Amino acid sequence: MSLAACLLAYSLAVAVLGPPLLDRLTRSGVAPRLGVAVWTMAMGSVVASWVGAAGLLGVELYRAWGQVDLLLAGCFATLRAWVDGGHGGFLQAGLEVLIALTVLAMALLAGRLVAALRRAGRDTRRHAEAAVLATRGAPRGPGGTLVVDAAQRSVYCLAGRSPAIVITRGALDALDDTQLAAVLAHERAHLTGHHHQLLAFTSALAKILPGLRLFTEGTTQIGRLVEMRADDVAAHRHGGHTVVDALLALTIGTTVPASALGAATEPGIADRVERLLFPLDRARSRRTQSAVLGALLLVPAITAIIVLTGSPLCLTPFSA
Amino acid sequence: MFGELEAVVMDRLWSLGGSGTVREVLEQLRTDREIAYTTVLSTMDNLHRKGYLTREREGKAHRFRTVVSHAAHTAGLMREALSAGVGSEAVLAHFVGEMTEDELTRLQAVLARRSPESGR
Repeated sequence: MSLAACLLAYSLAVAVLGPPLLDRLTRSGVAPRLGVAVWTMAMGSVVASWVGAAGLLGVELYRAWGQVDLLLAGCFATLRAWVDGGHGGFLQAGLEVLIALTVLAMALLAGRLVAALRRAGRDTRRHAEAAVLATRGAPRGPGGTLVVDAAQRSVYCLAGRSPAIVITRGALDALDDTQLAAVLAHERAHLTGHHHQLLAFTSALAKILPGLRLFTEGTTQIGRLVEMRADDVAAHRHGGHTVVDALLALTIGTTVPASALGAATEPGIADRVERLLFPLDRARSRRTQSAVLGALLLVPAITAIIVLTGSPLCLTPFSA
Repeated sequence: MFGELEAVVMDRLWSLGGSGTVREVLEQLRTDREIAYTTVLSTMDNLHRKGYLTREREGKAHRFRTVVSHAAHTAGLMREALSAGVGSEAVLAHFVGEMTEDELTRLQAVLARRSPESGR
């Protein structure tokens, strides 16, 4: 019981303190892969501690009754205790109802997470299919891309059973050969880095728990960092200036009013261009990198401390 | 890649003016490939099931109609690609999204610092 409480306290601490801290650490986009790892670790450890707590509480509950209809039994016990006026029994039963509710809430969240992930998968497949239909069975474009006959300049990729890069005729016309190669390298980096799967998971979490900044802010930041990571891969092969030129070729003259709702506006273009053109100096980037690495190691360290040394604090038996 | 044949069939229907029977599509397709009647039939049934085609009886056969024109289909695809999270939860990774005026101002400030010799 107390271990479960400790896990929940830990998740609360990470959920509250994590976002501002991690935001500061990963803002500059130094070592984007580390940044992604540290956000993912924070989010994942919170989810894991919930699962752990729910599991522990579930076991506790099972031991308490060793039967089904737990909620109902809890309610009856509470009522009876109240009628009898026995304080200890009342507290015990009330606690067990609380536990049952927590376990139920966790199960509900897990169900909603699975449903959100399946919806995302279905819509992605559906979109890929519509993209194939839009190409009218025409041969693939450069690098096996799906070329959609549309004037707007757009390039994106879809993961799934049949990963695809979609490029519009407008984008093809706007890019020269090296810029196109850099754009394709960027998109392939998303696919090989499994960025879609990660983002699908974090955005599903953000969607079902919109009140938790760790998930909403984390999803935004991971989205930003994977773009930077993909930029780095493309810049490594084709040069930072080529990537910047490609970014400019696809964006200049396409601005939308800030109020345009629903548009997939990109908050990070200036940041991406800045770090490609003016990389941070070595010393500063190494400092930031160590800080991120430290944060990355902090999470397992805290978990270990909870489990190993927390015995007097966390491992006191429930009914004591 | 799934759907290549579906794309070809949709293309033929679109070039037939948006409607056709399995037999009509088959004749079109046979001009450049060997293909069985049942293959075309099941492809068109698939497209109907997925909501891309409607179907009505015409004598002994079915007449299939495209739900939207090619232009409207492409426009819809682009709309969905650009408006993340509206109506669709597809997970896409754009190379770059659209910019707000604010972002453009910031971008211009960064670009102003780009020295002439380091760029082009």
